[in-house]
Amino acid sequence: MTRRRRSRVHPQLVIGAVLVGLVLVTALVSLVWTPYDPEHAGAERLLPPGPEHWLGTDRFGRDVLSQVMAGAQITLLVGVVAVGIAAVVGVPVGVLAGMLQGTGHRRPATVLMRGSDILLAFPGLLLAIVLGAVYGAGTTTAMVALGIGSIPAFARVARSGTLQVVRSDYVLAARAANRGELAIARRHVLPNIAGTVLVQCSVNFAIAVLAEAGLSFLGLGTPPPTPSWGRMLQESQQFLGVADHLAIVPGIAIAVAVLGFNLLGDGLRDVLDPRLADVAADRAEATAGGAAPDPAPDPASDPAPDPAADATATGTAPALELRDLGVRTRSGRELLSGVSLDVAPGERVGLIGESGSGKTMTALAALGLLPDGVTATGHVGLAGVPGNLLDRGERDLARLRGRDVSMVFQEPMTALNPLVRVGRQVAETMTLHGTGRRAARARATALLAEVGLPDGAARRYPHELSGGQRQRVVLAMALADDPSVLVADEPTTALDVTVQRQVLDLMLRLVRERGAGLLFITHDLAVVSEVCERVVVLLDGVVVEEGPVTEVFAHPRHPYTRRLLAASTLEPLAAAVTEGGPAADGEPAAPLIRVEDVTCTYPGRGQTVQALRGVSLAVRPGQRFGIVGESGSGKSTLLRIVAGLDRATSGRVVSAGVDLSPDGVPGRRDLGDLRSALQLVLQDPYGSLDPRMTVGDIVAEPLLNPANVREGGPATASARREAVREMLAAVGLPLDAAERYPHQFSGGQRQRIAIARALVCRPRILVADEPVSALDVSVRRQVLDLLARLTDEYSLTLLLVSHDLGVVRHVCDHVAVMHDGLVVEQGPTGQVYDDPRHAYTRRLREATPQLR
Amino acid sequence: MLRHLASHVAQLVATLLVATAAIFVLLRVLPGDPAVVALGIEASPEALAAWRAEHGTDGPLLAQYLSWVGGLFTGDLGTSYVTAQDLTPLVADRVQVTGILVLLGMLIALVVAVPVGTLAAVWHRNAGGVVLSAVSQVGVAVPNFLVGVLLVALFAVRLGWLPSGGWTAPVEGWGEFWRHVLLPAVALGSVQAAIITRYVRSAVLEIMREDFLRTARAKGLTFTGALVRHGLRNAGVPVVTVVGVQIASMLIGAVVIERVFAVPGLGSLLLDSVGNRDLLAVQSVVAVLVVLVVLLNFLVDLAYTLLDPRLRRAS
Repeated sequence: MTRRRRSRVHPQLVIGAVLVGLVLVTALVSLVWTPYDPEHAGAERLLPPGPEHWLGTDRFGRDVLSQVMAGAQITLLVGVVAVGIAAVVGVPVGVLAGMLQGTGHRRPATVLMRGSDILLAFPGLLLAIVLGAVYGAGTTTAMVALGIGSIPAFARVARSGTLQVVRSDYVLAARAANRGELAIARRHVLPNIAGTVLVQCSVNFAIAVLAEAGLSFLGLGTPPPTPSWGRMLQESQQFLGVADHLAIVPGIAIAVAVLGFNLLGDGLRDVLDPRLADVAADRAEATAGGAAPDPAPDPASDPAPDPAADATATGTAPALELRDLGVRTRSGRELLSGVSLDVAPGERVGLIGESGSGKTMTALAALGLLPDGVTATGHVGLAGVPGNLLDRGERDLARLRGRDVSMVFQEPMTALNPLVRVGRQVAETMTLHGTGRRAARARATALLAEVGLPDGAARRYPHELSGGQRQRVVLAMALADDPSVLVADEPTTALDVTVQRQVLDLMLRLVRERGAGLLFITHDLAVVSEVCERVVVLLDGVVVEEGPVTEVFAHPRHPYTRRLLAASTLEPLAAAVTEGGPAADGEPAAPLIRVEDVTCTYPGRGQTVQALRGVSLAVRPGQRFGIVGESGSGKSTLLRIVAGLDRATSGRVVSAGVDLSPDGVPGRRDLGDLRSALQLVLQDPYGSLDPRMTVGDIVAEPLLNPANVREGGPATASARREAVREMLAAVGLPLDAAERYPHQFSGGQRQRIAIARALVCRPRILVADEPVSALDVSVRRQVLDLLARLTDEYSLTLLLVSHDLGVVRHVCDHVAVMHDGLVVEQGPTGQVYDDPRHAYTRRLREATPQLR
Repeated sequence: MLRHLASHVAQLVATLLVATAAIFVLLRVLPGDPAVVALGIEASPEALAAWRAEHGTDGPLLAQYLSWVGGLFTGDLGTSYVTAQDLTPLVADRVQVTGILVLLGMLIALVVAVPVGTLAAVWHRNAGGVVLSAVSQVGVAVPNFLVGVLLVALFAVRLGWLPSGGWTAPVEGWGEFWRHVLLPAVALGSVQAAIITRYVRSAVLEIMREDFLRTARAKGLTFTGALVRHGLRNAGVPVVTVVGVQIASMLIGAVVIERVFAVPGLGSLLLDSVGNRDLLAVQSVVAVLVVLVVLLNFLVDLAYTLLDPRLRRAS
């Protein structure tokens, strides 16, 4: 997969490299050979191009070809020195500023950047003129001035690249593994920003070439008689119309050099862009089955029931009808094949599948919204609209969208235009389909009230609303014209549990009131069981099972459906540890983590945010302690404080015997003790592994700090390799995993790598922050069970943070429920789950969708 | 918003002070005593003292700096040591010429770049888009003075339609003004058009991937309709900032174009003053250019905040 990506020829890169190579070779050749001495005026003057002098001669009778060849030397010299100066000064400044800002030292970082930004006031060309006026013009002045002028560009690029790396989860993991800032800069920051700096070098080289030519043109560059392209151009001016080749030849030379470096820069940027290369492609590939851990069952072995039979059974024409829908990419990869399903008027149909199953493609195909380069075949029919929607043009389709069929998308944060007030965006659905502007405005305001937004919401911008509120706006927008079908693609997946409940209820009510059909797409079986009447199961672009929800969930026929159902039901694991830990004989063991009355405030936008408002809890050795809460509950802040990555504002924190209380300053050694005793597993398996390191290096990283290695632990390179191999085997990864890179693994496998990294130095405490929330249902179960098993095998104490009560109940024996910066309830998991005392816990439980 | 503005203004003032101080040190302090520069090494101490008193270069350097900066912002640039000309009206006159040239160049650039860049993005998978991209890529690589030289070769030398250089102010006659301004403005604007086309293209491409554009289509807009109604304004935010930055770079780029077309703008004044070793004039022109560049950067920052409601409150 990687091989194919690397071998794919990038035209810009190749053309750029060829042009740059041409300039380079010309310069090198001209050092030892040119057709004539470029500075010797030996031939007839102003000769046009001919057999003697291929590119003619200039006003002194010098050979133009020889001059252009030798001119490449100055061009490259100025470029190399100018870019060198800019990079050598700018990159360290930017990296330092980025590291400072990334570690919370905002002020010095800002001062550093402002200092370099002042140079923005002196563009290179101007600086060269000024320095030329004072110290005399010449090559050196030009190089230095152009170099200084480019420092801020490099500083900015280096800073933003560094910030991105420093804020990544893999640097957080490295910090948690007790790596120093210098090691982080060397191992993570520099390799990861090298690409962008290289791009900047190339682009800046082009700028330097242009500027040098401009300076020579003005007579402020390289003095005669040394040949220079800019001066050749300047001298050609007098002979325009007589000897145009004198202008054209150096002009082309300059353009070729600049074009070459620009193309090289652009090509490098494309090749190195993680969005284009690593993430997008590989995520898609990984989830498309290439690296998936589970063998996909053969869909043909259990043929799907014929949906056409169902449709005739209900007797009415379906509101939305998909027949034999196929979707493939331009390269011929099939994303969907033979998908048929119906949504009767007023019927609610769930479309279930994991990532990569093609469920979103189904929705987009139904509305004619497929992305570029993806085409659909088959039939899409809509009640009251004759013919096949797939045969219609964009203009025709647009008329139907919003009026007859509309859609709600997954991500409420990006689904709305950030520059337009939401009232206008809702009204637009109606004005587009013929409602007058004023009527539409009034109706939009009414609709926003109907979906439960406060007064005046119509005049708000999207960023002023919460995620749940935005999703309500999207819902109002989708239903404004009373469409007969609503397609909802994971509409509540990005929302908190209690908000999800409200939005689901609202959507159900609105759809029922309007008698609209609903195609509800989700990965969450529990949600489907609550919302839908019928369900369609999609696997790898093929429908594998279809039928009434109650029937399918009670008697799943296809093995995939059975597996999905099994993975979705998280029952408590047999409690491995009794309350109180190993020393259960009467006295409970002393807590390993003790948090007493901890508060934490930090400056937010405008006012200070109180993330924690007096939290107390104690985690005893051997416990599996769960913390449950929604976003904003303070659970992540608490976790960072316990892990020594953040400081509390007040209260007492003792973690693995290290005092982390805000009044006492823990020494480096103490923090070292803590970090060798406590390790982290983070939420996003895509962000928590450095994409440029092999899995072996990633897992070995905590061992590189000797303080993390226990006595008798792996201290040599070969011992480390052995430890890594052992750990990879323990988390169930293949032996050759160590040599491969993170992007070659699926999400679940990456999370296993993260667990291996956390356990390689044998900590006593494992802290897991939402370890499965980014994973598919079937993988989620496996990773949770692995965590639980390793907790036993390595006698760990587990602190697991999750928004999902079910996940915590599955793994943990003790749970604390957090809400609004407070622990509202804690106790044995079974008791809190079955008999919640606090109103919030009850609300959370009731809001959690249940499979039924 | 007000606090945001205040912090921006404070930053602006600080940048201006540091930048002018740097200019002062570079051009007034480092080259040595201007009296010696003007009168020669063999001048008598009395003559030198008299010259210093006349030109106000006898006080402490800090006082000289403050009086120069004060003059800079109150419109008194002093008298040239070399030509004895009053610099203020001279520089003011030249600023107008360069300003007209740059703004006209930017106008030409935008008229070309916005539609072409948008089309290049919309067609990015077709041959048409590739061609537009390639042309803009080549356009970026051509130095503006080469375009100038070629325009002169074609329209002035070969065809004789337009003058090869010189300048007529609009007040002296619009016809002549246009005949003189057209070629330099096109030379300056065409390369900018290529640069801005590339920014417009990438901004529109970025917008085309946005979820809200898909939402707009789901409401009943065609792809083109969604792009025009919801996309372009969003794409405009980064493009406006680029336009600001590019105007600043055109101010400097105009130095070369003015030389090609013998236009009496700031650039010509700068180069002539450098040639005459008229350091006070150089100091003044550079200061004016730097102040303009800094002001433009400031306006860009401000425009960014005004265009995007998300930044209005956040900051």
